[in-house]
Amino acid sequence: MHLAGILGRRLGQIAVTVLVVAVLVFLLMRMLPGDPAIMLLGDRATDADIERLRAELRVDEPIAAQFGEFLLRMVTLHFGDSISMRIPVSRLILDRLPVTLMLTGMAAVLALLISVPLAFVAALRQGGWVDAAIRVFAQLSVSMPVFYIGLVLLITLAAGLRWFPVGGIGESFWEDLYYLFLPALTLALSLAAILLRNLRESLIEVMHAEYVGFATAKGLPHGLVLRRHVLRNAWVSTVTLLGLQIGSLVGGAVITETVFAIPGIGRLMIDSIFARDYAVVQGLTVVLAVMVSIVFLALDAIQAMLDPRLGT
Amino acid sequence: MTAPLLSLQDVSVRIGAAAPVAGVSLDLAKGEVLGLVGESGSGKSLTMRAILRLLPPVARVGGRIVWDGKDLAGLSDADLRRVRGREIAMIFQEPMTALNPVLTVGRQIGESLAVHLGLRGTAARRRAIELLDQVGIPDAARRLGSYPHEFSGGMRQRAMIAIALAAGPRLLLADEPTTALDVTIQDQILKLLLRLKDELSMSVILVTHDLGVVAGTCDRVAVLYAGRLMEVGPTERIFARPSHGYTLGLLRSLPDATHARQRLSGIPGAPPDPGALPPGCRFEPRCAYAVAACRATEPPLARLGAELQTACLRAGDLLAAAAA
Amino acid sequence: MAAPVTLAGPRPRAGRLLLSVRPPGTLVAGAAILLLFLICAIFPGWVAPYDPLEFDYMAIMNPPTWAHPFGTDNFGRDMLSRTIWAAQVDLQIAIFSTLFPAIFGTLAGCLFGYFGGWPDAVFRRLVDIIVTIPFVVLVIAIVAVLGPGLLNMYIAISAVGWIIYARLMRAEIISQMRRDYAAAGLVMGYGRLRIIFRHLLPNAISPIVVYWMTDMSLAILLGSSLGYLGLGAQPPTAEWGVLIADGKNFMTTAWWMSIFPGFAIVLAGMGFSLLGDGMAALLRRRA
Repeated sequence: MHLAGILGRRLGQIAVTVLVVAVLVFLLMRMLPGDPAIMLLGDRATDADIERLRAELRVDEPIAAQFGEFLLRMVTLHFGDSISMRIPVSRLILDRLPVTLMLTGMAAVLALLISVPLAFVAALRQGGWVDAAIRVFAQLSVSMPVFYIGLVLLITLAAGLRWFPVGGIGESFWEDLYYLFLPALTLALSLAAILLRNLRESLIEVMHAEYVGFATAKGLPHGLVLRRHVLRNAWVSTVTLLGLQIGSLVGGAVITETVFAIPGIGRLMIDSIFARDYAVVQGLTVVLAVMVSIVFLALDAIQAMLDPRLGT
Repeated sequence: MTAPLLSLQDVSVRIGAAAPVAGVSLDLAKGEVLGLVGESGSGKSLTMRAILRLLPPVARVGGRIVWDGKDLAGLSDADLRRVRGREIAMIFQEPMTALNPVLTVGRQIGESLAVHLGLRGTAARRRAIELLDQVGIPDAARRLGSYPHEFSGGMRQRAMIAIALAAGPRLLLADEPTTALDVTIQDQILKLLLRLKDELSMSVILVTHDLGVVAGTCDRVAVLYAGRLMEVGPTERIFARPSHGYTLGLLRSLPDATHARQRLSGIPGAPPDPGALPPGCRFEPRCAYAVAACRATEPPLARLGAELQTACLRAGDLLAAAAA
Repeated sequence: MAAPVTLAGPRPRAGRLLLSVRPPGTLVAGAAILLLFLICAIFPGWVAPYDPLEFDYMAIMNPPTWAHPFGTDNFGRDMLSRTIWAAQVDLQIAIFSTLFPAIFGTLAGCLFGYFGGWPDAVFRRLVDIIVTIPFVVLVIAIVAVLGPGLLNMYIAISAVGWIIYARLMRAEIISQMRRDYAAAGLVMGYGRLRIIFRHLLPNAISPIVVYWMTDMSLAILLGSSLGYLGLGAQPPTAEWGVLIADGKNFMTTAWWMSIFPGFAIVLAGMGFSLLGDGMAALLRRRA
C-alpha cells in the first residue's frame, strides 16, 4: 500500500531530528566555558595532545567548518576517547549498548506479558472487584518512582529472599537473563500499568462495537470473537502507546541501571555526566537519538501492518 | 395450515423495572417477508436481538421463541451458536460499524464458512467468490482481499449481506438495513434482498421505521408501538384499510406525492417512557379515536378475520369509516 | 455484546453552578490526601512526634515500633518525623517544577496554535526532538551542566517541561478555532488577542488543568528520583528521594529507612492523580 510513503516520510523526519540533535549537542558543547580540546581530553592531557586535537577539531576555523568536522566525526563514529576510561568512546558504547538493549527488550516483553492478560480479565469482568483490584494495582505501580520499585524488589527478593542477585550482570547470555530479570521487572511494572489502563479501555470500547455483535450473530465461538475481533482491534492503540513509551523506558533504564549497578549505557550516561566526560556524553546523545528514531520507524511500520485503514 | 417457520410466543424484554417489549406474539411463514414497523424506541430492534440472544445480560427475555420445533430461549449457548449464522442470520443498519475494519471481507466470509460448513482453502475461496457475485459485487475475486473501508456504502451493505448469508441460513433478520443508505441505493438493496429470498429459499423479517420500504417489500407487516404489537396483517390490506389508531396516524402523516403544498399532519405527542406507561392502551394518550374504554385496560391483540390481528378497540369503527 | 440499551428516561438538566453538583469521589479523596500532606508541609513541627535532626545514639537503626512507627536511621533519628519534615520540600517541588512550564507553556501554546506560521513549524520540530530524547535524560543532562541542586533542577525541568503544556494547549486551541464561536468573534470585529484570551482559552483550559495535576505527581516522582541520584535536593535538606538514598546502604540491616519515605511518595502521587481524575470527571460533567 502506501507503507513505503509513510516510512519514507518518517525516515526524512528522523534525519532532520538527528541532525537537529547533533546541532544542539554541538552548540551546547561550544557554549560551555573553556577550550573544547581541553574539555575532551581532560586535565591530564599534554600540550602536544591538546594542540593536535585543536587542529583536528578545526577550533580556529569558522564555526561552519567546525560543525562540518563534527558531523563527519559523528557519522564515522569517531567520538574521541573517554577521559575517565581512556578508551575510544565508540568501543565503550558498543560494549554497553547490548546490555541496555537486552534490559529494555526484556522489560517490554515482561510488560506485555503482565498487561495483556490483566487487561483482558479486567475488561471482561468490568465493574467487578477483580477489575477494581487490577485498577488499583495499576494506579499504585504508576505512582511509584522507578528507583523505589527497584529498591523494593532488591530488598525483598534479592537481599531478603535471595532469589535473585543484587546487581551486575552475568558471564553468558543465559546468566544475563537471570541477572537482568529483577531490573527488567522493575521497568516492566510501571510500563505494564500504563499499557494496562490503555488496553483495558480499548478492549471495553471494542467489545461494545457493532462488529463484535455481528460476529456473535454469525455464530462464531466466543474465544474466536475475543481473539480475532476484539483483541485485533484493541491492541492497535496499545502498541502505539508502547512505542511512545520508549522514551520513558530508556529514562527508566538509566535509573534502574544505577540502582542495580548494571554496566549499560544508562549508567554510562550518568557517570559520564558527573565525570564531565563530554566526549562520551556527545556520542551517547547522538546514538540515543538514532536508536529512538529507529524505534519510531519500526512503530510506524507495525501500526500500518496492524491497521489497514492507515496508509490509504 | 403448515407450521410457521418461526413463532414468537408472548416474547418480552425486561430491563430493570421497565418492559420495553411486552407480549409480542408473531408467526412467520416459510418464504415470507414480514415487516416489523415502529418508531425509534418502539422495541423492534430489541425484539430482533432477543431472538438470537444478542442482548446484554441486564435485559431479561421472557416467552418462547420456537424455531424448527425447539425453543431458542431455552437452548444452551453451544446449541444457540449453531443456530446463529447457520440457520438464522442477522444484518445490521450501519455496515461501516458492523464489519471488522482490520479484516478483509474475504476473511470475514471465510470465518462463517469454516465454523459452520467446515469449508477451508480453495473450496472456501470459491464459495466466497460465488457469494460476492450473488450479492452483485463486481470483480469478486479481487474484492475478497479488500477491507471494509475500501467499499462504497452500497457495496459495503452488499458485502455484509454476503457475509451474513455465507452459511446458507433459512431466516434473515434485517435490522434497518437501508436506513443509512441513499434512496437509490436503498432500492437496490431491497431488490437484492427480495431476489436472494427467492434464490436461497429464505424468509426475511425486515425491521424498519420507513413505511415506504414496507410497502415495497413486505408480504405482511406487524406494527409495534411502545413495545406492544398494535396490528398485524397483510401489507396491502393494512395500508389500504388500517384497523388501528396508530397505523392510521402513521399512514396519514405520510406526505402525499400527488398534492403540492400540503400541511403535514404528524401524530401529536411522543412515545411513553417505558418506566411510566399509560394504564390502558399504550397509544391512547395520542390517539385521535380514543374512548374511555381505551384507558381502562390494555386491549389484547385479537384476531379480526383470518388474516388480521389488531389491538384496537375501535377497529370495527375505523374499518367502517374507511369503507365509507 | 450488542449495543447497550438506553432507556428514554427524563434527563436532569446539567447544573451550571458547580456548587450544586456533588463533587466526584476521586476529587474528594485526592483533596483529602493532599490536605494531609499540606498540613505536614506547613506545620511539620506540630505533626511530627520528634525533632528530625535529633540524634539518639541509644536508638540506632531500630525497626518500626509504637515509639517509632517508621523506625530510626543510622543516627537514631526518627524516620516518621524525617519523612513528615521532608513533605514541604517535595510539595514545593511539585508546585515549582510545574508552575512555570504550565503558565509559559499555556501562553506559548495559545500563540503557536492561533498564529501558526514559521514559529509554529519550528515548535513542532522541537516537539519531535523532545519526544525522541527521554525527559529524564534531558533533565539530568541540564542539571549536570548547571550543577546539582533544587534551583537548577527547577530550571532544568522548566526548560523542557513547558513544551508538553504548549503542545497540549496548541492542539486544544486549534480545535477550538474550528468552532463557530471563534469565527463569530472575528465577524463581530473583536481583536485577535481578545478572542484568544477571553474566548478560546477558557474553553481550552480544562485538559491543561487536569494535566497539571498529573504533572505534579510526575514532578514528585522525578524530583525524588533526582534526589536519590544526588542531583536534586542536596543533603542535609530532607527530601523523600534523599531519605531513600540515605537508606540505600542499609538495605539489609535497616530496610525501613528506604521503604517508608517511599510510601509518602506513592501516597502524594496518588493524591495528585486522584485530584486530576476528579477534576476531569467534574469538567466532563459540566460540559
